[in-house]
Amino acid sequence: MNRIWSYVMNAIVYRSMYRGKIVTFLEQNKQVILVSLVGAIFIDSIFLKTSSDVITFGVLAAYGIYAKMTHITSKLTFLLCLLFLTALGISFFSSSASVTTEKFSVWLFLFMIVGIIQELRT
Amino acid sequence: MKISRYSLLVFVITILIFFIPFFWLKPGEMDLGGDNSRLYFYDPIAYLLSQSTYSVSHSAFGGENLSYYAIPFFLLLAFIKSIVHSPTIVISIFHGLNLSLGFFACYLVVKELLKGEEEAVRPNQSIIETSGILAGLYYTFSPNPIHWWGYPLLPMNVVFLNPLLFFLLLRFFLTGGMRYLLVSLLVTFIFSSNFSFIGSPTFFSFFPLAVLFLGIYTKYIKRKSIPIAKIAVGLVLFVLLQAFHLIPQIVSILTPGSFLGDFIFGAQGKLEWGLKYFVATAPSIKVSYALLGLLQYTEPKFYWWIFILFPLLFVLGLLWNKSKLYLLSTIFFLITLFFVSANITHIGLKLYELAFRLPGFAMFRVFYGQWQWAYLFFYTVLVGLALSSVFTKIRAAERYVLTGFIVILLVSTSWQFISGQLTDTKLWQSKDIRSHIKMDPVYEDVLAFIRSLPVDGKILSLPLNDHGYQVLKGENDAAYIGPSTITYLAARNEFTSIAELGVFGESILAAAKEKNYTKLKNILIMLNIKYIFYNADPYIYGDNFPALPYTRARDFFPDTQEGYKEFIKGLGVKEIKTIANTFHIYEFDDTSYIPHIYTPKSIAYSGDVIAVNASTPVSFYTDKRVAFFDDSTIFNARQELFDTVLLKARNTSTIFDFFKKKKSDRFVSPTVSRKLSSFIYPLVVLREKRDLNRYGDINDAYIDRSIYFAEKRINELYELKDTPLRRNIASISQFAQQWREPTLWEFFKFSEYNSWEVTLARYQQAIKKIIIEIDSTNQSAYSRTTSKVELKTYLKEHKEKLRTAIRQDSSLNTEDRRYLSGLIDGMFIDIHNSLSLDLPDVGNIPYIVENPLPNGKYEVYVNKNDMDDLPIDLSVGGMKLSPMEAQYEEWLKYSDMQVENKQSLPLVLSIRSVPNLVAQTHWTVAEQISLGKEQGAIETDPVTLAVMYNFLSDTSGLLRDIPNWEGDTIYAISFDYLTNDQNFLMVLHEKGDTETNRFVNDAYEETIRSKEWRKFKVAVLSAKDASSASLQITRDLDDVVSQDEETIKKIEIKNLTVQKIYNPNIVLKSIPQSTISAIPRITFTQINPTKYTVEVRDAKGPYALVLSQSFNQKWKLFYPSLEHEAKTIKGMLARVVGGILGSVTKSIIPETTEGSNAIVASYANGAIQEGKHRIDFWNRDTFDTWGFDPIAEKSHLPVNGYANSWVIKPEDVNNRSDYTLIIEMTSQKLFYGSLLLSGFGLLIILFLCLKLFLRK
Repeated sequence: MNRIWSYVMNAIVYRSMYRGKIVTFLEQNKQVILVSLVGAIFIDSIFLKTSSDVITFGVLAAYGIYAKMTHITSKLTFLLCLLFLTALGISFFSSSASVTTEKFSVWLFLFMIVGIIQELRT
Repeated sequence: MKISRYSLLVFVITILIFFIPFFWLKPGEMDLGGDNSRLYFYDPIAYLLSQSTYSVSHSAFGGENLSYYAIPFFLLLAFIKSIVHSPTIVISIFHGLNLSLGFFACYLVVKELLKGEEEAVRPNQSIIETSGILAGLYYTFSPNPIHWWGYPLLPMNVVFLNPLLFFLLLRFFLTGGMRYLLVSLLVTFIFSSNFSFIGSPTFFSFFPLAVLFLGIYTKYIKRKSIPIAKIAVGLVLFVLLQAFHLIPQIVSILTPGSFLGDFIFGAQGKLEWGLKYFVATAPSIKVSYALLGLLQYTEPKFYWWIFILFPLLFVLGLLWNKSKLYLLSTIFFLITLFFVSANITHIGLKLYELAFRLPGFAMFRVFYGQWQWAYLFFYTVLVGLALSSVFTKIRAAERYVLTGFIVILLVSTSWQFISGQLTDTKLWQSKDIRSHIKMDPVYEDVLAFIRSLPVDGKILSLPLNDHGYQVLKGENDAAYIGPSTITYLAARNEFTSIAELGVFGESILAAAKEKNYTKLKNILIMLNIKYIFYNADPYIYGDNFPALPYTRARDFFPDTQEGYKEFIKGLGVKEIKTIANTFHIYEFDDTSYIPHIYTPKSIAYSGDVIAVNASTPVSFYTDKRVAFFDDSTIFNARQELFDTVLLKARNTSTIFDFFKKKKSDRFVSPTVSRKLSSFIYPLVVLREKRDLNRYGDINDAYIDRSIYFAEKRINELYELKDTPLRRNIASISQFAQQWREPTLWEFFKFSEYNSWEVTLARYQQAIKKIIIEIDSTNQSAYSRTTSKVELKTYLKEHKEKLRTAIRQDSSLNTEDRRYLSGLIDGMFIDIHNSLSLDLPDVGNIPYIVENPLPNGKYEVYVNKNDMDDLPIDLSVGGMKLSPMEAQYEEWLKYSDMQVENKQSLPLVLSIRSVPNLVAQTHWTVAEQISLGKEQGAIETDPVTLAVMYNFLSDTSGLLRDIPNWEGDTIYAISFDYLTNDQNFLMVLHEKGDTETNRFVNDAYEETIRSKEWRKFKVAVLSAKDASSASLQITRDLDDVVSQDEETIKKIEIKNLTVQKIYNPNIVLKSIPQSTISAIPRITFTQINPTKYTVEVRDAKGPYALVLSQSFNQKWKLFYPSLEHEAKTIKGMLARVVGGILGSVTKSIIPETTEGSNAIVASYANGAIQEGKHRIDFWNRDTFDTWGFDPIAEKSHLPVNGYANSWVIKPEDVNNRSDYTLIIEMTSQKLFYGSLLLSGFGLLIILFLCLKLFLRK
């Protein structure tokens, strides 16, 4: 698993001729990107009534690359899980198992996996 | 020994939980019903003997039933019941053990895992104990598992088995101690049901994951070696222990052609049963419910959101606890969450769907239920670990608050469960009848009497229900609805529902509805029914159960107990016992019964499916000892066996093809993705053409595809608004002839498509092309008719859709609407003319008798009851047959005919005058009749209906009763009409005469519209349970709304005829030429339900032997003698083992002759005798057939639509005339062998346990 992960990351990032520029850009805009990604997840969960794997795995992959390049720890991922769980709780309280609640549940599931992978890698 | 306060607390909680179920049932009450009965709690031994000891079912025809897995559990139940006596206490003890052991084992698992944490992260003792207790409480009282206690099934023991076995295996993996493994194995043996075929979903959802968890935990977290050798020994012992049920089951699955094998490996089971169900249910399953540990398919409760607490603990645990154990537990939690919820992304769902292509995965079709126990377990473990992480981070006071909160939350939300309200269910669809029944002691007498019935015939239980249930009133006014006690406790083969009657069901229902007792008895004879059990209690068949379980049966059988009494009288049975004036047992006399095993007097081939129409062939025989074969392959291959041939003539009138469904529904309505105005629309047209060109032949698939694309034109007009009009077309038919599709090079003419007229013309062209292709194809007339009927159905839908489109398109003005409405009407008239689907002549009905048509002289019969005493003529090849003197009550006889070298024989039945059912009735106007005015009946012809356009002055229109309307019959309805270009609706209403179908249904409706007199013709098939009908002509929605509300709409109607399409049975019966030289005398005796002995006397030549039990290749006929010893290694080995076991048995069981020759019944002047049946599981002769080849294997054939038959030739029995045959179900022999293996395995385990104990 680790090997595949490294391979994908290397292929995408390190083999890129713009590697250095991308890393610098990401590090300079670390918080903006994180907020954008989380914002995208909230927009997807709250405003989009249909679910798309392209969006889900696109955002997840973006987060994976971001996490890899900016060396963020699993703690941040689990904190995001906490955020999604809070949103899930609010959504469940207000509208039971609505589309939004379901989407937050799936995001929570996926981010728990990402967090565990990060934790295992360290 | 010092007992810690925690141990004391755990002990107290465990005891408290154990006693919870003792408050659910009042003394004497039991909860036994449901789909999967729990009658084993009521009488474990009777249940064991009936259901688990033998490989045949006692339900209905008596098919193969492998339920050996429950033997150890039922023996344990029987043992406990022998101590406590009360089934109520037995139920409470087992439920209590389940709950308390589940709690205790979870506590132990969490405690063991936490204790094993590295010292740096290991919580203190208090936290470990608290976390373990709370995890156990969660496992027992969380919202999901408690709901399943309302309907506990046999594998419900999974509640304690999963955690208990996990704990024992955990200890085994960590310590390598064999005692843990041996105890686990003994537990699996006692609760074998959970490790059997029926327990496979819960087994495979939990144990592979559990073992994987333990392996990873031991190897990578605890850094210990896995005891591979001991595991291998354990696996061998496990297989040995479970051999008694696994081997017969696996052999059954792997037997070619077996139902289970086909089910597991075939597409039907994998995709139809598994995937289809999964796809239908998966979208409704909520990931959030699973995440919060809630019950799916339930209305959310206001407090459910509080359960967010547990996922919160998990995430906090992930933040605060970095131990590998915690991560491992979370991974397994997420894996099971994926399986239990399925809806984790589309790709996840797709992967899940793909898994259904694996053999056996279909067992997870109800995935949210089957994975829930594994999920609950890993959820619980994570709850325990997360709590310990959180507890270590918070202060002691906060710990107490959190603990108290969780306990209060779990106890308060499960209070309904604890108090027993949740399990005290009301019977579904009943009038609030409770399910906790206190059995009426009188009913024990009924069961005892039924067990003692001497003749080994089957029982018909009345009132009949829909799905194999029995309804019994308890002493406490509660009721039992569940599998029949006669089948499950009295071990008698019984028919109690329509479902159990199988393919015989429809003909029995029809006969019951007609109250045709002769027909009914003829079928019951074939089913080997000797007794009728009738429960006359009004409580179980009246207002208390208005729907289930009698919903369908009521439409055909009497719907009151009084009606049933009359019905039973009509059957002419003799009452042999009445108990408490409620339970009645009747028996058929010997003229209306053929014994369970018999030698037929005649072997007949019937050219009709026996099970569908059993009464017809039987009605030709006074002595009902006949063996009927309906398989033409058997007949063609073994003609010498048959002494009589009964050939049913097939009605070839095309009108019957109108109502045959050639195939399942073809497609969903096409979607429209491109606008007609789009410049790429020509590509859509091109793609459609290419798609159709792919089909080489004009077959059903091609026609379906063509209709699909034609329907797309309709949908384009329906869905795309603002389609422009040309407004200069007089007729679509003419325009369609001129209009030409732009070619590929005329791409620039893409706008050509964008108009109503062009789209309609393209539609008409497409439909006409289909009609021409149907007519020109070389398919059969049947196939052409069904294709045209299918097309006609769609034309009707398309017309309705176009009318709706005109009404709804706001861009159209009144003139446009009128213009389009005229075009559409004209177009459909033209299409219908091309379709030329005229009704055939109802007075001359063509028949044909086809291959096999053996040469010989035949008697010709027409069924009298089917013809309503109408004068008829019958002719063959233009030659009229003369009527002869009737020989059988139900049949008109015609002159004999000779058949020589013919492949087929056409006949024509002419009805001199087919009555018009409405000849004596008149049109009426409903409103006037309801006002009591005399002028309701309108006797003029034509009749005129004029209604005001004003919507408020609504009218029901014209009504006409159709007398003598019958169910399941085809009628031709025709009339002439003139509507002055306005829409009217013709509706045919039907209704039944029973409680459930007394409401009027619309059987057929069609909009009619004409500018000149036109003929309306339609054939309709009445509903099975219809008993009356009426026609209604009323106004319909207009395509163009008139501005003038005073406008009068007028319809004139004349020449109404409604004619029944007669379809009488015509049978050709060969003049018998007996090939059975002499029928030997036989005496048969049941040794047990899987074994019979047949003593044969005076056998002079070949003869047939019939066993009226569901056909199965595993029923074998043995004649154990030197000549029939099996010559294979397996056979020799079996003979040696069988010889040893036989000798041992004979030395243990003494020989007894007492009562062994008793004869309980004698039939056909003593030609067939029935010995006193026994139920010997093990006797001196149990192993007599081991190592011997069966005889007459090639002639073992299905007969009478379900039974087994053998033709025995003298050479099969060494040319002897007096001998004894054994009929045996071989899966039972396999069970005996497997049981020995399991016994051997059990002895090894007990020996190892003893050794360990002594060493200690």
